[in-house]
Amino acid sequence: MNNLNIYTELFISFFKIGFFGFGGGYSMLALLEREIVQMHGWLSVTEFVDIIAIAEMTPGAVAINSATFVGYQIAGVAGAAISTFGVIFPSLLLVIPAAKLVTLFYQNKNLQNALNGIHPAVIALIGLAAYVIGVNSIIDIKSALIGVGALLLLTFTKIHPLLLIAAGAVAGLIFYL
Amino acid sequence: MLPLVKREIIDKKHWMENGDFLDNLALAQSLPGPVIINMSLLTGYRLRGIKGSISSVLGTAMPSFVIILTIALFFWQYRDYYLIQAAFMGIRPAVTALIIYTIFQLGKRVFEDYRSLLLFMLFLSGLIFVNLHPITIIVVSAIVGILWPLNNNSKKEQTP
Repeated sequence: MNNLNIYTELFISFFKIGFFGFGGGYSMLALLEREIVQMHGWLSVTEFVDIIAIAEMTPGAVAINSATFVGYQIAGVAGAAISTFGVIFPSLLLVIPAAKLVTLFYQNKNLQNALNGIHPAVIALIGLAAYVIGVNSIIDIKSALIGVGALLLLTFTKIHPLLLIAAGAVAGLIFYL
Repeated sequence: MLPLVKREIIDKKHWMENGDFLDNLALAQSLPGPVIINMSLLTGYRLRGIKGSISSVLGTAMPSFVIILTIALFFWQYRDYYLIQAAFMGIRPAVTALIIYTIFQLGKRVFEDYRSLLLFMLFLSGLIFVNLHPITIIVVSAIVGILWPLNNNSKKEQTP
């Protein structure tokens, strides 16, 4: 594989993910899945899910963690650096001008309506991430039970996500060994 | 991660008033890209201009870059070990639950306007069944929002 090409492709993919990544980490997962798994086949779905789990367990934004990880898997340390830069670059371009034009930003009714209109789409993207990840994670009765149990814990106990993942790991060891 | 940012910026370093922090947060959440990166850029820019924003974005990105690289370099190879495999069999459904729970939480606020719920179902069907690209959905939803404004009681409306 041509190295220069792969670096360019990584940069473009992660630039797209950063540029259209409205609504925070989980909605960016849908973009990641489409670009990384479906379009380029850089990762399998299970690898993708496991990287998200690791990103969830480690500090820092999920989008950045996934960029670093995927970049490294595809093209080593340079790939990791280029992918991470790619996902941050749109913010570098957009945030400072937006801060300077902040009054204009809030007074522009069309812009505000567009940003409001994105909300249902953001939730739909999170829905897609849940669907893709769910279909590949919940594969039998045992994993379904773990999933339902986790959802009940989240709803009724406000358990910390890190603790929930640890509990999932313990449940996995109990059920699957 | 946001409570950590708030404690560092407001309580410990006194770099910013609470109101300014919330204004920055609203802006950071409206713009594309990782919220934490946008927040770093805004805080750094407010304190020391462009140089400040570059320093703070590097400061935020470096730890996760190093941590993830370490995991990729030294731990990923043990993923096929049977104990790790079993643990991940349980971790994956837990991650799914986390994502579904986020949908419930966001939905509670956004779906107060029934049109949002309708659009959500339409968009999700398009993504799953027609395999539409997420970028298409984002662009279409922005256009729909301009032509047919939704009444989401978002945080943005409380800021000047």
